[in-house]
Amino acid sequence: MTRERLSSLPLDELKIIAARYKIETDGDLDKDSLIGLLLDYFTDLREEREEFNNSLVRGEEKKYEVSMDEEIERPSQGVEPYSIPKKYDETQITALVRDPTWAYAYWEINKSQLCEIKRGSKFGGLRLRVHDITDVEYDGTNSNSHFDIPIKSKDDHWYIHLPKPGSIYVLELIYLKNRKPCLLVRSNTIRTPRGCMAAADGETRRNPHVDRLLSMAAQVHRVPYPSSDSIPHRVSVD
Amino acid sequence: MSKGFLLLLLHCHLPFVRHPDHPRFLEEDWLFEGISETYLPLLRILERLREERVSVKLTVSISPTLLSMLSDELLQERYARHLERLLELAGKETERTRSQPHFNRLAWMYLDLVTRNYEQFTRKYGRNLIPHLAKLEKVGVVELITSAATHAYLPLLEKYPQAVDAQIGLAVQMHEKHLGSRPRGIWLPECGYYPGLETFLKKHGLEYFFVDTHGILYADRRPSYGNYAPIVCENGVAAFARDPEASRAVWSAEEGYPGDISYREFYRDIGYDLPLEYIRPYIHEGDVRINTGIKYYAITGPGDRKKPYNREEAMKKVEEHSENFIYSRRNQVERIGGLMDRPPLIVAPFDAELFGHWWFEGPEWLESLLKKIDRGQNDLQLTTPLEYLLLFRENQVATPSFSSWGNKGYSEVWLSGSNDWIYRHVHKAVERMKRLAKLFVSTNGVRRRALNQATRELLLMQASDWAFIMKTGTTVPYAVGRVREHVHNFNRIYDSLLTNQLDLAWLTGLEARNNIFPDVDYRIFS
Repeated sequence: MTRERLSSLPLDELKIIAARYKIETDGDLDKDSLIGLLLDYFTDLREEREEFNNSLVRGEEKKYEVSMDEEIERPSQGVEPYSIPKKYDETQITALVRDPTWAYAYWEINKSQLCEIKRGSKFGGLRLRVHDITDVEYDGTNSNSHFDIPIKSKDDHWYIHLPKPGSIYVLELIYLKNRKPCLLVRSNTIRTPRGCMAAADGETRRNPHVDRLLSMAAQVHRVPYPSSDSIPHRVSVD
Repeated sequence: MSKGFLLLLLHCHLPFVRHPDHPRFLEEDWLFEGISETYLPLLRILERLREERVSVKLTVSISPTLLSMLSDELLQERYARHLERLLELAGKETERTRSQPHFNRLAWMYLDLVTRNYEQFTRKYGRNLIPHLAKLEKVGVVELITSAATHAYLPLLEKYPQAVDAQIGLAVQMHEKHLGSRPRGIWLPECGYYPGLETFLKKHGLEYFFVDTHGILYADRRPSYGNYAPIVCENGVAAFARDPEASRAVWSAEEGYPGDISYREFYRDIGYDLPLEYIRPYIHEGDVRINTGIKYYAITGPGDRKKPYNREEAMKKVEEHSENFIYSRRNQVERIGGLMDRPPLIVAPFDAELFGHWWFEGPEWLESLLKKIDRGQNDLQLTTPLEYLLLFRENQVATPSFSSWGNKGYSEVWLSGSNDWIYRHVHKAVERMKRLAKLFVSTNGVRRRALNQATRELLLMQASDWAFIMKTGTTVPYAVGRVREHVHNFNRIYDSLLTNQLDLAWLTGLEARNNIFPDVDYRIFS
């Protein structure tokens, strides 16, 4: 976004843009000062993004840059709005793996079903139950372990910190009735990556130099070459 | 045999952007800039190297989306008009800078570049680049591979095998349709891989794919050769891993060649620098300033004060940097070679659009590199995936790890607060598409047209570009609008089919606008 572009917009529109981006302003701010604030905000935002992004992402994003003027949507822009459903009114839950120790879940509970389960005084709230089912043929009762995340009926998604990489999980939406858990719906199974090198085996040991080679590869890729195979770590992809 | 192999890969992809309802549309410039600054210069270079009998082996992946746009008559026409506007602007620049010899030389350089692009595109290629790319494969200069149909980030579709299958199957079909032969390899969008994906690749005749470095380093079995040789999945499909050292030399903002102070500064474009009264006809309506591609300043260093761009200095740096790349790769091969019982393979993949667009001198660097490797000792040799797999038929069997080349190595770029809302709608649309394909096992006429258009809308909403843009923040309103548009269109078709109330005029208009993959058959979801 350039100063010139912002200067061409009326003050009212600039105030709406500032409000949309939750930029704090004094009520009596003049146009120049407001433009200064907006430019600072967008510069900080750009720098934050650059810091987060690795080199590959920073390189790739350049192909989408044709103008600095349309980073923001103007309140008066004539883009035809396309209505899409907020929800689909079906009880379901989907789990997606983000990385070795994080998953994302989104869900929905059918309105009438939600009313039904909330009826009466015995309703004890909703939970997101996370089951570790690694090496288990899960039958609904035999997970290795589980933990609960209390959720509200207006919640519809969550980022879940998972205890162990290299594991298999399934999520359940449950509600408490008379303090007993009742299953609403179960998600797909997800498998999280190990996040580190596998243990050495016979084939690897056939190369006498494999340790040095892997240590070199790990160093270049900026990940530790662990002596213990179970240490998960962040990958620096640059 | 060579002491080491270098596999250079250029991945060409842009999302489907086509807005026939508007005489000009800002985001169509992504394509026009890509053609002007990357694809045409690269084709010129490869053809020139072929004529000079320089031995070149390059792997080029081209997404079906990009193939669709390059073969679209409306976009071809618009690109020709775009070039004509640029020719006019470049001509005016040679006049405007007449009294400034240094800038005037650069203005003539740009006029020459645009003229060459125009001649090449309109006369030599008849407005279609694709057959000329196919020719380069026939004569062995490039190995052409595909990517997913609309460049969907496949790990986030894992729950829906039909959706993954559709992305891969359609990609193979489109590649063959446009380029005349089936691809044997695939560049997975964003190197997004999950264990099991190889099942779909094998089903469609693909023999290899690419992952990020840790995709192999963290495979289910410890790789005996690190990332310096491919591994082979249980079903025989091979996986090659990106080499981070070779990538860093080019990609890194801190250490990479493109950041050299002698190279051209991307952000000092006359589209922003010159007065509105002069530049107005060449930017977008509403006085939206854009990149024109005409830039007169060098990177110089941090801060706003930039020196004028010196082309001769930049070309000297190109020679230095291509020499440096080879020197570094030879050192790498020397270091690693003794630790392996076969020559190490260094895989260096790049987004093609990096060359010429972000890094103006990139195509010349590539040309210089290819010539030097050809003339050099046999200690570093270019190879392609198929050539390598013919030479080394026995490779370690292992399954790569779930991985991508995005920041932090997994799915965070495409699954975060700014874009996670997409998936509820995309996944629901896949379920609905499956239902439609089951309900209408065989049909024709308007209903068939509607089903096929629903398939297009579904594929278009799956493009990884939208989530990427929402995360990285370049043109967020546009990306959000695109996802909403395709979800809306899909749902409208879905509802119309179930209630038997198809609006034919609306459908016809939609088919004309979002016309990717004209021959798509909705039964890929059955």
